Order: sequence, then structure tokens, then C-alpha cells
Amino acid sequence: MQSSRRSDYIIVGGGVVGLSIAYHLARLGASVIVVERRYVGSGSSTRNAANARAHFFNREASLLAWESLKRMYRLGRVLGYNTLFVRRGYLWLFYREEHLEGMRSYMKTWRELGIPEGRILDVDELARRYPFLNLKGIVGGYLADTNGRYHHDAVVRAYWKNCIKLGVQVLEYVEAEKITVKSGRAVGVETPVGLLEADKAIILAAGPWTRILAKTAGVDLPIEPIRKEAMVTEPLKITIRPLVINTKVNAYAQQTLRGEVLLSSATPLDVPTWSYQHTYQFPLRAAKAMVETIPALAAVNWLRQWAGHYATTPDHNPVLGYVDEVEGLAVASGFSGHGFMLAPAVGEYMALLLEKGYLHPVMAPFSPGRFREGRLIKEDLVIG
Amino acid sequence: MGKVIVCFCEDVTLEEVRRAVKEGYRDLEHLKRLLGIGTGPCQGKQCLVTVAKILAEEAGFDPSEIRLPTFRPPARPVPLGVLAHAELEEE
Amino acid sequence: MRFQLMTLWVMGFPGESRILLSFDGKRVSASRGDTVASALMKSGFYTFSRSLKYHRRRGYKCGRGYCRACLVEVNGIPNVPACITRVEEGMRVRSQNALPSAEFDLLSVLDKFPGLVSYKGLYEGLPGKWFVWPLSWRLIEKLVGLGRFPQEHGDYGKGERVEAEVLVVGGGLSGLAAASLLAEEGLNVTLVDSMETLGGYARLDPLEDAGLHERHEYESPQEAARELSRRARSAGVKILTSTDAYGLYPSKNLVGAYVRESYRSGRHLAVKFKYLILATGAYEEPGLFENNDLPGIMYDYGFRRLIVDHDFKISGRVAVVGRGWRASRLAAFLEAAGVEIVGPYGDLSSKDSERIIAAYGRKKVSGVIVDAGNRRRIGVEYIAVAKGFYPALELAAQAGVRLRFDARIGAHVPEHDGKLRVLNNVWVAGSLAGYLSYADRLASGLLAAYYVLVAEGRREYAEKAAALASSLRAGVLMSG
Ligand SMILES: Cc1cc2nc3c(=O)[nH]c(=O)nc-3n(C[C@H](O)[C@H](O)[C@H](O)COP(=O)(O)OP(=O)(O)OC[C@H]3O[C@@H](n4cnc5c(N)ncnc54)[C@H](O)[C@@H]3O)c2cc1C
Ligand code: FES
Repeated sequence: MQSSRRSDYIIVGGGVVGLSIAYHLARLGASVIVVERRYVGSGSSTRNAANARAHFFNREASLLAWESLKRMYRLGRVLGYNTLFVRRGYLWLFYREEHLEGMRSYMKTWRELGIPEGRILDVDELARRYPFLNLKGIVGGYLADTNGRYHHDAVVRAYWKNCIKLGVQVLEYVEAEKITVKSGRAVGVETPVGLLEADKAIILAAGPWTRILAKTAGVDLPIEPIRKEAMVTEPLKITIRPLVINTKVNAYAQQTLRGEVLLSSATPLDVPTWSYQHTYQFPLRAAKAMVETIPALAAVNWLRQWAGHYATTPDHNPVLGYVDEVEGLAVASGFSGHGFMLAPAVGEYMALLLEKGYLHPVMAPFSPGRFREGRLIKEDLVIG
Repeated sequence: MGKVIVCFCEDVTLEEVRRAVKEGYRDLEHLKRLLGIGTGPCQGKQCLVTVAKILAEEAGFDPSEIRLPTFRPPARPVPLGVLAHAELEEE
Repeated sequence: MRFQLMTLWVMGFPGESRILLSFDGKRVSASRGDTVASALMKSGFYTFSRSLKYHRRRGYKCGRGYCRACLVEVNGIPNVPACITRVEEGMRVRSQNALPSAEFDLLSVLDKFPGLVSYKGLYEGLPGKWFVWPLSWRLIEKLVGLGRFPQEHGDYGKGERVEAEVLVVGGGLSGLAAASLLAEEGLNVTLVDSMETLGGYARLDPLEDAGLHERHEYESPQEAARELSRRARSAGVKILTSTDAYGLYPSKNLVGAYVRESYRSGRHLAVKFKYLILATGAYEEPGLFENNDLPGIMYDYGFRRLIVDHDFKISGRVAVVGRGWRASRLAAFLEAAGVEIVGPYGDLSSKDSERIIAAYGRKKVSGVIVDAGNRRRIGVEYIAVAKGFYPALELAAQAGVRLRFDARIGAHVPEHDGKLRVLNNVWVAGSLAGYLSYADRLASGLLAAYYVLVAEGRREYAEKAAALASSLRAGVLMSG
């Protein structure tokens, strides 16, 4: 490979976040190398459920997510590649009055933040609009139809293609082994193809592996690789348009853009592990949960299951920005299961921080220093 | 001219695979995600080997160098109702 | 009622009760042994549904439930494989993904403008402008998916747990040989097979086979399949047919399986094993030529099954595709059955001097274009494809068994330790392990059983295994 070994920035991780940062840096005129251990998107970026929402249960995340969602709407147009975004909506189903109440009161917060509201649906309206639901035990729902889904492979490819167009070097099957630190400054990334040097900064966007790499530079980040599984069925004509969330058991189902029903569920097997190994229990549990919610799913054929990671932090919110311990080292990880939808805004804000030295206020609360300083982001409302 | 189908579930043609390889997609995993090969109801039982051969031919690889995508359950489709009534293993 | 009587009178054979079903509202009469697929084809319906993107015709191909080209809706249940679903009185069978019907589908215009739905069209945005994308989404959302959302929920029973000392997955020659020997040696053996009848591919091959005869004293593969099935039964092997092993979870010594009871019912089975033999066989390599997806083009197994199991009458000529021993055997089989054949020919994937480069036909295949220096059109009624064999390695691969490219068969096989062992307590056998000839496949099943017996502490089998292994190595060379 006769490409340059030196650039302004080295980004570790060819997932959607690494690529989005690379794209925005290149747009600002910087030279960038992205190293990816396997193929582009091989981490969670091609293993996710492909949903994007603005409605989180704390202000910080809601604001960041809303900024990102707005960018998601026009991403295809900006990147000149159809990312297949559709506003399918999120439908939370509540089984307890106090959850419904909590939701009702939290709607005020979203309104204050300027996030488009959804609506509470009573049981009758649920029955009318979604005849496929089993309403037993349900007290109401919340439908937010500004939220939607994209095609994750298309988004990854859109960023990738644009990166290449802007001269970013994306190296597949090259693993970053160690961060080289010289007199307190991160200067390079060691790889099997040699040392790659960064003049301005090194960015770790390596999903849960970010923690391992940071450690090679002496930085400790509380990011855990929580295995998370999902499954799909054979394709059907589209009936389940919104993402249907069963808040009782924390499971969801929705038809993908290709008509497959995608299911996932929280299970006792969502444990910290580096393995992508699928489990025996997951499909049984997810099927049980969602067949109860949508009985007709019983007659739909399961086609595939897989596993990915939630790169999870103690407060379930991402870690974005420069680390304090080493100069020239930044991270964008710890998305705790929502990183894909945040990538458009995170890429832009990270590039502003790196290249312009501007810390965007929406991104500021997510600094890596917050764990040491005890400024964790609090969840205002916990459902399920 | 009639189509030569290589992935019958997702209707992917020989022509499309060749073109994608020419465009630089040199990994079955990328071809799968771009074209949908192997993601339909037969889960690659008919197309994967053919596509691997085309990839090897077009890109000049030895077939043994080609990395197959990850295999995952189920080996055959199973109704969700069957899973929903299964006995759960004790953890 | 009167109409029904008329139909019986016209179509019924004396003494045989007919079953009536409907396909897209039209009456179809079937006999008890028919599957939905054979019944439809006997009544002249070859197009069961339309394909996902281009709305091309789809119908019966593999005849054993894996290719999924034959999916139809039955009584409101979508995506039912017609080839492994028995006919039942009054079944309402509907085609899928067709407007208004499989025979006449307006959406087949998409086949004429592939740019609209090809990957280029979807992502890079034909007609090219971003502002039509949301619009194109509305449209695409209408088009995607095969079957309708279920109109009925099915009836699935409570799952069960089964313990087996030995679990054998696959009831072809190798699986049967392994299972019957192990049961005869006193082990508790369970065998699952996804078909209704045991015997795998061999069951449908009644012609003499010299290798089988010399090494195992069976006249034909069919006889071997029959005899071994009988032996397995009498030795007390627990046999579960119409059962798909869908997942192997080695850390739990567990195989998940689905017992299909009907198109709308079945149950889950969790089989705990001490030893596992995977004899899952192989899938068939599709033919590569223009219009290779027309109805009437079938794989070897599917074609044989129509004749052997369903008494399907072949009136016209059949083109055989493939240049190996399987194609020759298929040709011989068809000739013996009085069917006129052309070929065997190569196809676009081969460098043969006589290649099929295209099939043609409107509703189903009606001919082939053969290139042999010059081009010729030959009218045929069916095309039977008997090319390569791809090991059905999903279960092994899921469980993390490494795969090795085997240049002899042009596909990957599970990598074993030289003694057919792929994991601590898991062995492979038969065509899954890369064995081609009937004799080798059968012998490899025995060999896997010997290794299991050795693992069980039966030392006397070590020597037998060594002897068989060396003869098998020679056998592989002979057939390869
Ligand atoms: C089942 C599931 C469902 C999800 N659903 C959603 C959802 O609906 N919406 C949403 O927004 N998010 C969802 N997520 C989360 C989302 O997938 C992730 O947050 C997001 O993909 C993170 O992107 P990333 O680029 O940070 O990480 P990744 O995509 O994981 O990328 C990290 C990359 O770094 C590479 N890498 C690691 N170590 C090295 C090294 N040493 N050298 C070189 N490269 C390295 C990896 O190979 C990987 O490709 C889901 C996740 C899962 C598992
Ligand atoms: S699945 Fe029925 S013909 Fe292949």
C-alpha cells in the first residue's frame, strides 16, 4: 500500500461515527486516515435496529438527538446518496398508569426544548389505528411520528463514498494496536502496516474497543461492551409501520424498509462480553415478548439472529471530546445503544471541536471528564 | 436480453454483481449489504457460492481467499409462534 | 356441490379420493399424496408467486423446503413452502407479491425497467433527484415484502426438551448409517430429518451404483436408503421427520429444532446431546444462464421427487444441465423412465463446448438456446439442473467451526481434525464433509459412528476406524 502514513487526523474505527467525523473533518479541509480492523461498518453500525428518535428522557440527550434527527432528515440530499429515511414513528405502549403519567408530564420538557411532540393515544385509538396489537393490560400509548428509520447500510455507504470523494483514506482490515504517546501527546497509531502519524489529533471512534485503545495511552474510560441481540423474519407487506415498544418487558418490533419484522428484547444475556456470539435464549425471549404484543407474528417465519454491542457508559450517554489526560487524543464512543442516530450531529460537532477549537454547547455535557468529576447525566424518567 | 439471476430471493443479476465488483466492492460482506444477496428467505443457500465464484473471477482472487459472511441461526426458517412456546433453558 | 361432483368425475381416479383446494380462486384437485406444489403443477399452475423486486415468476425448484422459491399463502398464513406442505381439503392457496394474480401480474413491468428497483436505483436515486426520494419511498413501501401480514395466527404447541446420547442431524445415507450402527451398539440415538421420508437424496436414485454394490452390498442408492431406514427403525433409533434442526449451541450441547406438523402448526424441540453427528447433506448449485429462474427449471432432487413421490407425468422433452456424474445419472434415470432428454449441457459457468446460454418461454420454460459454436433453439418442457453440490454447513458454521475451501467441490466444507471431528463432541459425515460418491457418503457415516464409539470408550472400534478411514481416503481420490 503506497499511501501516506501521515495526516492531520487519524480516526480509529470505520463505523458510522468514525466515518461521519472523517467526512466533516475533510469538509473543513483536513487530511484524514481512518483505520478499520475489519470491513467498514463491521461493528455495531451494521448490526443496529436503524431507528432514530429525538425523544429521550433527559434534556441533554434529547437536544443532541433532535439536532441529529434534523440532519438525518436531509442526510441523503446532503450526501447525494439515498439513505432511505422514512418517518415511521415510535409507538411506546404503556402497561402502568404511572408510566403514562410520567410520559404526559415529560412532554412539557420536549416542548420547552423545541422538539416536535408526539401524542398520547388511548386504548380505543390504539385499537383503531393498530388492529394488530393485543391490547390486554395496555393503558395507553405514545406515538411520536417525527422519529423514523433509515437504512443503516445505506447511511454507512453514503458517508464512506463521500469520505473517499474528499480524499479520506479508509483502510480496511488494518487494526490499531496501540496509541503512541510522546511527552504527554498522542502522536501516532501503531498498526500491522506500520506507524500512522497524526499532526493534529487521534480520534477513537472504535465503539466499545475505544476503552482498550485508550488504555494503551494510559486513559481509563468507563465503557463496557454489552452484547445486544436482534433478529429478523421473512419479508411481508408492510403493516407494522411504527417501532412498537413494549415497555413492560422492554422489547420492540417493527417492519424494516424491506418488510422484514425486526425484533429485539432486553434479556438477562445482555452482559459485558467481547463476543458477537448469538445466544439460544434470545430468539425465544424476543419472540415470546412480541408475539404476545402482536399475536399475528406467531405465523411469521424467523430468518436470522445476530449480536452487536451497546458501548455502554455508567450514565448511558456518550463520551464526546478530548480526554484530559493526554493531549491530542479525542473520543467519540459510549453511545449506549443510540450511536447511529447521533452520528450526523456528533460528526459535525466533533469536527468543529477538532479543527476549529469550538466546543458546541449541545455536545459539551458529554465530555469524557464527567465521570471523574462526578457530573453524570441523569435520566429524568425511567420506563420499564 | 434476459436476466441471469444469481440471487433468486432478492432478484440480483449476474450483471449487477459484476458491476459492483468493478466498482470496488471486493468483500462478500459488502456485496451482501449493497445488493442484498444472501439476505432473503433462503439465506444464501443458493447464491453465496455462485457470488463468491464471480467475485473471485472478476477481482482475480483465489477462491480460497474469499471470506464468507457470518453464519447465524436459524438454518431453516422457524415461525415465531414456535419460538414463543419453547421451553426456556435455565440460565 | 354439483360442480364438485363433476370435477370428481372428470379428474378422479377410481377408488382414490380427491382433495379439492383452490389457487387464486381457481379449483385444483389433488390426490392424498400431493404437496401443494405438486398439486398446482399437475393442474398446470407453474407460477406460484412473483419475485421480490422484478416480479418474475417463481415456483417449484428444490423440492425440499430450502430454496423458498415456492412460497405461497395458505389459508391466510404467508410464506408457506408449497413443496413440503401436504394438501388438505378446502385449502385456500394464494399467490404472493402479485397484482392481481401470479399468472398476470401488472407489476412485472418492473422487470422491464430494472433501474427503478435495482440497487443503483434505490440508493443513487433514479430518477436521480433527491426530492423524489420521499416519494419513491411511499412507492417502495408499497412494493416491498413477499406475503401479506398473517390473517391467521396458527396453532403452535408447547415446546419440549429431549435428551439424546447421540443426535444425528440428517437422514440421508451417511446419517442413517451412523444412526443405525450406534443404536445397534446400544446407544440412545435420535435422528432428525427435515423431509417427511428418510433417505435423503439417495432415496430418489433407483439406478445401480457400482461403488455401493462393491463396498456396501447394496444394489442401488434407493435400496441402501430403504434398507438403512429399516435398520434404523428396528434398532430403535428415535426418528423425527419433518423436523428442521435450526440452531446448534455447542456450549449448551444443544440443538434447537422445529417439528413441522402442518403449514400452521408445529412445536419447538430442544435436544440435549452427548454426541452430535452432522449429516446435513448439501444444497444444489443453480444453473447460470439467461432466464434461469423460469418456472419449469428445477434442481435434480426436486425433479426426481416429482416423478418418484408424486407420479408426475412428463410429457415433453427435458434438458439436463451439468457435466458431472450427477447429471449423467439424472439423464440415465430420466431415460429409464421413458423421458426424452437433451444434454447434459454446460452453462455460462462452464467452458464446455455445448452450453445452455438461455432459457425461454412465456409462462414457463418452453425451450433452451444451446451454444455449440453456433446457436440452436431446442424446445423443451423442463430443465433439470444437476451441477455441483454445496455442503449444508450452516449448523457447523454457526457453532464456530472453521470452514475450508475445497477446490474439488468448489465450495467450503467444515474443517475437521482428520477424524471427522469438528468440535469436542461433534462429527461431520456425508456430503457435508465433502464426500461425493454414494459409497463414500455411506462409509463416512459409519466412520463417524466408529469415532463416537471410540469416544464412548469402545476401544475395539479404533482399529476398524483406522481401516475404514484409509479405504475412504482412497475412495475420495477415486470419486474426486
Ligand atoms: C442490536 C442493536 C440495536 C441498535 N439499535 C440502534 C438504533 O435503533 N438506533 C441507533 O441510533 N443505534 C442503535 N444501536 C447502536 C448503534 O449501532 C451504535 O451506537 C453505533 O453503530 C455506534 O457506531 P460507532 O461508529 O461508534 O461504532 P461501531 O459501528 O461499533 O464502529 C466501531 C468500529 O471500530 C472498529 N475497531 C475497533 N477496534 C479497532 C482497532 N483497534 N483498530 C481499528 N478499528 C477498530 C470496529 O471494527 C468497528 O467497525 C444498536 C445497536 C445494537 C447492537
Ligand atoms: S423450497 Fe419449495 S421448491 Fe424449494
